[in-house]
Amino acid sequence: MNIRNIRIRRSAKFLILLLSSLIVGAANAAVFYSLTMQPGVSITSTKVFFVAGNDFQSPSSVGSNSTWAYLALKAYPNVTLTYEQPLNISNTDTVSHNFRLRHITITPVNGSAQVGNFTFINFVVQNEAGVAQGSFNYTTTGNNWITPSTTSYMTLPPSTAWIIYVETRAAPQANDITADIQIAVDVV
Amino acid sequence: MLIVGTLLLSLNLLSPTTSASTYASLLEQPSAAITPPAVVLQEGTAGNSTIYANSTSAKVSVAAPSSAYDYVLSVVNQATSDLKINLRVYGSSNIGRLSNATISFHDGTLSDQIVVSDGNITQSQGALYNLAGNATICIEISNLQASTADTSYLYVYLKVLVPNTTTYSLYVITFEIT
Repeated sequence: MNIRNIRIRRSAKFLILLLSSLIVGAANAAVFYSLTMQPGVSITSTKVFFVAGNDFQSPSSVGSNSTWAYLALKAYPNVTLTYEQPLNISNTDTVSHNFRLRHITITPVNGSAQVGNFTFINFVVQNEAGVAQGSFNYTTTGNNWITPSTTSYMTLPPSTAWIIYVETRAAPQANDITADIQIAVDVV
Repeated sequence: MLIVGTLLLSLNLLSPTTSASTYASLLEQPSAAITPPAVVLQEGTAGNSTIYANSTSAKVSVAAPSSAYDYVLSVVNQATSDLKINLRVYGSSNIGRLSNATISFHDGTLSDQIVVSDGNITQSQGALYNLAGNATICIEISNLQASTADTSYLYVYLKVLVPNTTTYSLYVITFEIT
């Protein structure tokens, strides 16, 4: 083997290596083009929101922008307590909006002996004339809640406020405990 | 195959449009605390009265004829703030035999709440009475007359209203008149 042959073989190897790298480079490349999406997110106030009602009692509160409401209620043992108008849901828009009530959480949780202290906590959506449009009733069986199903969508007309009416009742000889609930009001 | 494929593609393109919805969720956080009621019922000294669990319902038994059972039951406001109360009939049985009966709040003066005359309920509910904080009011049955020997029932709500609101509780009181 002479020196010339060695150079040729090295050159061939280098050429193969170079071609391989070009092939790999080509394989990794992707041909693409770009569409352009330009979202414009403007902050606006909601047209549907909570408003305190005639039975909105301390320490109840409506949060900033009126999109959150804490409702302090009582329940008496062996007697039904009614809040005819603790909270309203108002539509200030010029068009109707649909909304529904959807259960999120409740404590005490199922299985706790404390659950049985309650008989029911019933939320009724009424129109401005006081006619029921939907009911959202938490009842109990033993130590478990029977949580309400998500309501159907209800149509809140423009420039109208509807009422969230509440009835509560605790079991006879019930202990002094508190039930905390989270309810989503989905607005379309 | 081509037609089916085109149809499936079209449906796929359409589905995001038809099933998508934009909505915002408001959050309501109610908190219901079990507390003793502000108002309780207590036994009277006339007739026979039975007070049930938590003193929030009662049964009163009286016999006709009688000019007055002046203290069949008392309504006690355990809170320091005033409350409004009244009585309202929500049911009855066999009252055709009652010639007369009047159920009143009695605090020295009378506030007539329910009146039965000639077998008819001529006044089914009374005016709201202001029950002051830590005060007690008596319930009286007067002018009680029956045409036959039998038993009649009046099923009544005692409404306890928080002043200047529409928050109220309803206590069940059963009047049994023999």
